Amino acid sequence: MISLYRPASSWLHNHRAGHKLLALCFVSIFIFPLTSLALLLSLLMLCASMYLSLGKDGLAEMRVVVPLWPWFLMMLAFHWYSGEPVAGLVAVVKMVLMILLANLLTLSTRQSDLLSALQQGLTPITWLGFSTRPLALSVSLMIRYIPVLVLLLGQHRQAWRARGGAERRKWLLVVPALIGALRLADHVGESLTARGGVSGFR
Amino acid sequence: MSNPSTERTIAQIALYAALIAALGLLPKFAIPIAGGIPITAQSLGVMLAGVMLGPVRGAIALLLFLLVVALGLPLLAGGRGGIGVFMGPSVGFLVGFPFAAFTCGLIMKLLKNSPVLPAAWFSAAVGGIAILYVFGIAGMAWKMDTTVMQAASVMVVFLPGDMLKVLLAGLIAQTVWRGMPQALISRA
Amino acid sequence: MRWFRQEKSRRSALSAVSGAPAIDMRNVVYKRAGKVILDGLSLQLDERRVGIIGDNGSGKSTFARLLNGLLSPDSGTLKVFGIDATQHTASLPQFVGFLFQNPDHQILFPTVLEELAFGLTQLGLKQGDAERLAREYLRAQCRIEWADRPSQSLSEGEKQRLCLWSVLLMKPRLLVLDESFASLDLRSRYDFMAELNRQQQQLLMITHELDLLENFERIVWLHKGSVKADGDAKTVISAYKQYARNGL
Ligand SMILES: Nc1ncnc2c1ncn2[C@@H]1O[C@H](COP(=O)(O)OP(=O)(O)OP(=O)(O)O)[C@@H](O)[C@H]1O
Ligand SMILES: [Mg+2]
Repeated sequence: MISLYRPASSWLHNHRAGHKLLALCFVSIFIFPLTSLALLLSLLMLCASMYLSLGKDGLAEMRVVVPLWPWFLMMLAFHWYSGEPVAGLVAVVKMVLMILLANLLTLSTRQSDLLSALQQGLTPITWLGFSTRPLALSVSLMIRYIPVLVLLLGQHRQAWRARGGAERRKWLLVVPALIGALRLADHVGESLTARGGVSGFR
Repeated sequence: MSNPSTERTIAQIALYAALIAALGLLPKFAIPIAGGIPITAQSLGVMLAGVMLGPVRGAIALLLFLLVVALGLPLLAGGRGGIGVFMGPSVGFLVGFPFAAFTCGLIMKLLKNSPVLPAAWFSAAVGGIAILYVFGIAGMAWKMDTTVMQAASVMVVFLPGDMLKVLLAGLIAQTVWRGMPQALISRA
Repeated sequence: MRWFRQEKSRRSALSAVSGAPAIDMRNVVYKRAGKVILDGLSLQLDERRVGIIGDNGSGKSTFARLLNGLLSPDSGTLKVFGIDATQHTASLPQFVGFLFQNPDHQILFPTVLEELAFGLTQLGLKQGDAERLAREYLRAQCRIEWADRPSQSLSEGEKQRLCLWSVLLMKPRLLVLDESFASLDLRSRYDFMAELNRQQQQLLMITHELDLLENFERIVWLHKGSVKADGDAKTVISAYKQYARNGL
């Protein structure tokens, strides 16, 4: 399964997932009330230098914000219209900054590490007798079955075309996929039970 | 779908979450109409998760989907993912997904005794448009620092596509119901 | 989440009764949707390799699913290794490993290593230990390069092998195979069969491929939910072939 994680060995990769997650939370809370364009812009420069420090392709990773340009234009236009163009600029820079910071976490942290950090964060609920195992299991199951369902959708498309199905009504292909997913769920549930179920034999 | 077990429930939730992801990954499933704005099948998946699985399972499926997106898999339509998507202008819609699915499922359940087609249309419209738009517009107004009216005006371009999706969600639910009634878990 | 605590208490540790036969079934009836699917089955099976044959819809899969608690009989008694199967459905999979027909239904994890390690964590091992053991197991099978491969990238035969290994790692005492060969080519079938014969588990195999059962110690022919014939491979298989050609 493709992931947005970029394997590399940078200083950021070496930090623990939980710490990075906490840092992101704190930084977001700190940035949220800021309204000074100068301050936000200097933070953006700081953020850019963090990307730069990741290695030679570091800066290129900042492209994640590019597809959002229509939104940025719209924000500027709205604020221009209400006669406060600077506020528009502040909103855009703040959003770009937040997205870039969050993206730093995503590209430097393996998803399994992030998941275990999350599970660790949920430790208090295990004291109440709950388990975080179903959570981790559902994540695995979902990731495992994405390619299977993509294949399922594709197969039905082929069968549909082979029988001369009209392109116009191809939404009908969702029907066998919905039913197929539930049929598959029956089998997967059985297979899980056959190996000890969600809670295992402990 | 008799004999409900925890294992089967978890599998149903995980497989529907995977299906929503698969629908977003298939570019060919985008329905290119509504003034050039491509409509992906993904938000159709949100409505269908609620309509098919019922309120609780539907909402959990969407929560799972969002969690895996946040963990860094590019599963949102257009190949977006990671925590960054929760910092962007569409955060309201993402947060609204589970609530939308819950509403769809709840209404579907409350209308248990009426015919499937109108019930699914109504629940998809309320959950997939009304509720989702409330969250989405609030999120946009917050993130873009605009007024609610300004944010709401953006939605005008999405409305035709979403109405089409409501239409499809109803027809799809109806077709499933005729072919395999027990697959409509919200009615079981 | 209340179920989780209930599950825990339901799965109190059990141990197999020593000397009890693998399967002890008396007058087992199973009905579904008002239809009798297993009609008063009585069987004691303790041979190392048992084959189950019969027509489509004769109840073979239903029979197999009773053995590891996926289904419960409506009446009659069923003991698996001396354990009452109707009382302890959730514990049975510890003793009875199951290999389904379609590996895509069985593989639960995105990568090979996770799939193998899962069974071990089910038995109570820590994730790290489980992954280390799974890696060792792969190395012993000369397939260490599979460890980080996406499970979806394996071929059908390789997937089925992964399923077998992840079940074997849990060390069940009885291995149940329900037409697990359907997606394998001829050569893989023979390879797979040879691998099964090397294991020390007891084996209960459902198949339409009578060749594979040739040197099994015992064959049971199910017909419309009851035992039509039961005995050594040669007799039962030739009786079944005769029936398949000429009818009853
Ligand atoms: N959920 C169900 N509801 C109704 N009937 C069922 C159900 N499950 C199984 N049956 C019926 O029980 C009978 C036995 O099914 P089973 O799957 O055990 O057959 P089988 O011997 O494994 O057949 P095959 O060789 O085709 O796999 C069949 O007639 C089947 O239609
Ligand atoms: Mg069968």
